Amino acid sequence: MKEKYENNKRLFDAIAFFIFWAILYRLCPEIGVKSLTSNNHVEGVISLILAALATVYLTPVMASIGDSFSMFFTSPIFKRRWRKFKSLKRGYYSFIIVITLFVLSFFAEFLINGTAIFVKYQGKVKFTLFSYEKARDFGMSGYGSPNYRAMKEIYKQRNSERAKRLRLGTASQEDIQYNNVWGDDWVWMPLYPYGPTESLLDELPCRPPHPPTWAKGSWRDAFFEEALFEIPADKPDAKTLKEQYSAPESWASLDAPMLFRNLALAGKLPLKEGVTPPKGNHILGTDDRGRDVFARMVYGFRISLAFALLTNFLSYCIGISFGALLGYYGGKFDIVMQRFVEIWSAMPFLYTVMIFASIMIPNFWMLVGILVMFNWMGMTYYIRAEFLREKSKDYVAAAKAIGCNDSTIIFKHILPNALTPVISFAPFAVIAGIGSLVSLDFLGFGLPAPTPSWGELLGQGLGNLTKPWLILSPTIAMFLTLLLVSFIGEAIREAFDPKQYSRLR
Amino acid sequence: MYSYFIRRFLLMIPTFIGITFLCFTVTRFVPGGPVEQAILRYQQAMSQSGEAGGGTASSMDTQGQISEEMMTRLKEIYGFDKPFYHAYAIWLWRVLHLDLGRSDTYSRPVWDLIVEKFPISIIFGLTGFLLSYSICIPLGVWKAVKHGSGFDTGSSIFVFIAYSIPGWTAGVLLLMLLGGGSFLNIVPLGGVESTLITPDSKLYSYIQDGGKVSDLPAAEIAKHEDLKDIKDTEKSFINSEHPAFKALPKDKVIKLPQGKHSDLTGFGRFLDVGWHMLLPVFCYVLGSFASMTVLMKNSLMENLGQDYVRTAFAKGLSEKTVIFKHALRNSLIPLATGLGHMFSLILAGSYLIEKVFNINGFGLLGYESLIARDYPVTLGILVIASMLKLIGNIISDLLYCIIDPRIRFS
Repeated sequence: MKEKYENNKRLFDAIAFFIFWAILYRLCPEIGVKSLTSNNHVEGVISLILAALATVYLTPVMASIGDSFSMFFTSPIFKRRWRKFKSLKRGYYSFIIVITLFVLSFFAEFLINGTAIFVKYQGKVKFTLFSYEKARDFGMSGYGSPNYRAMKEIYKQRNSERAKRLRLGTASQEDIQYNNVWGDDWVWMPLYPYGPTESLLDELPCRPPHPPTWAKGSWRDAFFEEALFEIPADKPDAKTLKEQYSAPESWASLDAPMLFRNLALAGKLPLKEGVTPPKGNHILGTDDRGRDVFARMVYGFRISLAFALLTNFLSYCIGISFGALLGYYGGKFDIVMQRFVEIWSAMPFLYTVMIFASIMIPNFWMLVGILVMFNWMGMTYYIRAEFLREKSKDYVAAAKAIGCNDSTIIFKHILPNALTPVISFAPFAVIAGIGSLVSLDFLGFGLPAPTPSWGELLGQGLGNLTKPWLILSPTIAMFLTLLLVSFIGEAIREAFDPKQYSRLR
Repeated sequence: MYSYFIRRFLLMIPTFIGITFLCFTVTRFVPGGPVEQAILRYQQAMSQSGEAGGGTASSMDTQGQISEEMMTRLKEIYGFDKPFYHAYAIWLWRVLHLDLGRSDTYSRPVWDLIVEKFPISIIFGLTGFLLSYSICIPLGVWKAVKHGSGFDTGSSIFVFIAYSIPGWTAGVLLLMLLGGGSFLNIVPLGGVESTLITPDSKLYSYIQDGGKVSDLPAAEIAKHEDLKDIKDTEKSFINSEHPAFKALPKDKVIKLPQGKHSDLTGFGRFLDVGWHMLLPVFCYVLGSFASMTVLMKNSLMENLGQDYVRTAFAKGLSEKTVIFKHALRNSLIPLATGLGHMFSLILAGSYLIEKVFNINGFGLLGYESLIARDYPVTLGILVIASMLKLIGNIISDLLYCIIDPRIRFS
């Protein structure tokens, strides 16, 4: 990679510059550059300068690091260890499951969403998933974007009415146009047609949080709490109880409120007029703002895992570079910088992060930044130790003797040999990353409000202990994810850093 | 050796300054600080009084306007009139004299607040800590001894489960299951002690004797400051610990119809606190259960593979002697050094657990100070927490040296 880079320096630099600039320009508003000035030119200039700096300093280093990783991953030792890892079925299958789910979750918009994927209206098919559409453009009344679920029903109804008119011969010009040219309108909804940030208060009866649709008992509870059952004027006696409600006669001795409660919860009473039982299929119910819990779980999974992977990747980048420099150069530089790392790691992690997050009210990228800021030190020690050990080996001396420069020795010779702890710690670091995000979200210092998150849901659950679906869903989702990742971690450690225990008996 | 520890102590100074300076600076530069909050409160008060007074023209004009003079006063009160490094220097100087400032929300010295909350956190943290050591060490040893057996695999399942569910999450789950929300109702919802014990509750049998205030002689009531102001003497009670109880006629002594924690007998109080500590302490233990058990097991396994164990076996010692007398003592080293981190551990996990169980301790104080933007308290807690962590690090190094004479820092 490094050689390819050296040979086509201009081309690679240009590509890298463009990529850096695109990322930085995209990130500028996110990391708060925008708040410095409202001038867009300044933002562009800042991102250009940063991109140029990144191209000059980072691209060669990245090419070299890429080299070390590719050497690490293609080495026969790695292949042997990978075979070992594959042979550990529990870890390997967990790995496949987690990777599959994570990749799938990037297509979650196509599977779980309140926005239609395609809409056909008056003969034109439109891809609506990622764009803002006006309800009026689809023949709906009202302002803003259409409610696609309702639209689907309305289109169905209109289609059948049109067919009826055509049959009866009372068709209008438009109907004939539909019949001859356009064809029926339709809405293609995702598999699970509810979005993570979409409030369903208009579609469901009762106050949120709504129970799962299948939990009939909880729904009856909710209806009863809001007095939506039709309560008969007189208290029924034992005979009517038996005949009309087929309820046990012994209930007749109960007080009227208790009796009606029992009848309502047993499903013997009708709902009041105008109250409809819940429509749709919310398999995990809704949260306290009426948003579908299952959709929030899935998007929360994507965000949690992406967050954990990203923070660890960035922390590792900093930690590895720092550790490599410390270990390789040693001496005064090592002593001074080690003190610095020590000072940095003596911070009370959670509380400092809480302080920063509570004051800055961060978005996703700022939160990643804050966590990386206090999280990168861990890897430094391991890489430093590995470098100290590897530095004194013969192959390094040989590389020096043939005149390799420092960067070649660091990236090409030592680093591929020092990456084992990185790989074997990664899964456990991911677990810690998910844990931190969930904790911060739970405390209210995490991602900003409408972002789907497990921790926020847990926080809601703590305030609504009578609504078990709010607690069980995130707990189980988190438990399963962490369990799978810890299986992966266990297997990777077994394969990459095996401890041979010899026993006498 | 000594020079190492002296260096460590000296290193505490820049570390401490670094941590506090960073956080101090952040609290100064981000909007929404105490001055803005005070302005907001003032504006709200103004608009309310404006509404109450019928909204005369003059009050409408001043509404929402803060005079230059008042702004300077506000900045002065909250120490924002000086540049941040100057303010930091002043703050640091005060901290060195153990003056952490006054809380904005409680209007009390921060130091008093922290001292008040500390015992609660320590009781919970220490119980959890001791309990987890006394569970994890035997379990780890047994797992190592029986490595590869059914017991080892079976207990590994629990270790995996405990590792995959953070302690405080389990706390939320258990509160839902056992706290009377949806399923069973056998544990309290939080807090440290009962606030209301009625004849329905199980603890009622441990309630003290007492009597109505109205049954006391009037002269006795006049003697006690706290009884004088009670208006409804028929419905007010004193317990047997009250100094006026002796004056109560013997035939009027009754079992209190209801009470709170302080009306319980000594044993009842013990039960009450234990009952409240059950779930939080379980969560503390769960938090360190997996890592500590595995650490103990691996450490012992490693030692069992060492030469000196082979020698011990070779000279004919029994397995029991070899494991418990030779290997175990060496394998306790990594756990023993963890004792140094006990201080910060007691506090570290507690922000979440104290929040979940509404335990009014150090962690909850820190959390609430952040919510209320009460920076003196936030910084005060940061000072204490980082001092504990720094001291903990040194103690753990020290323990390392004492326990394992092979280790020499230089």
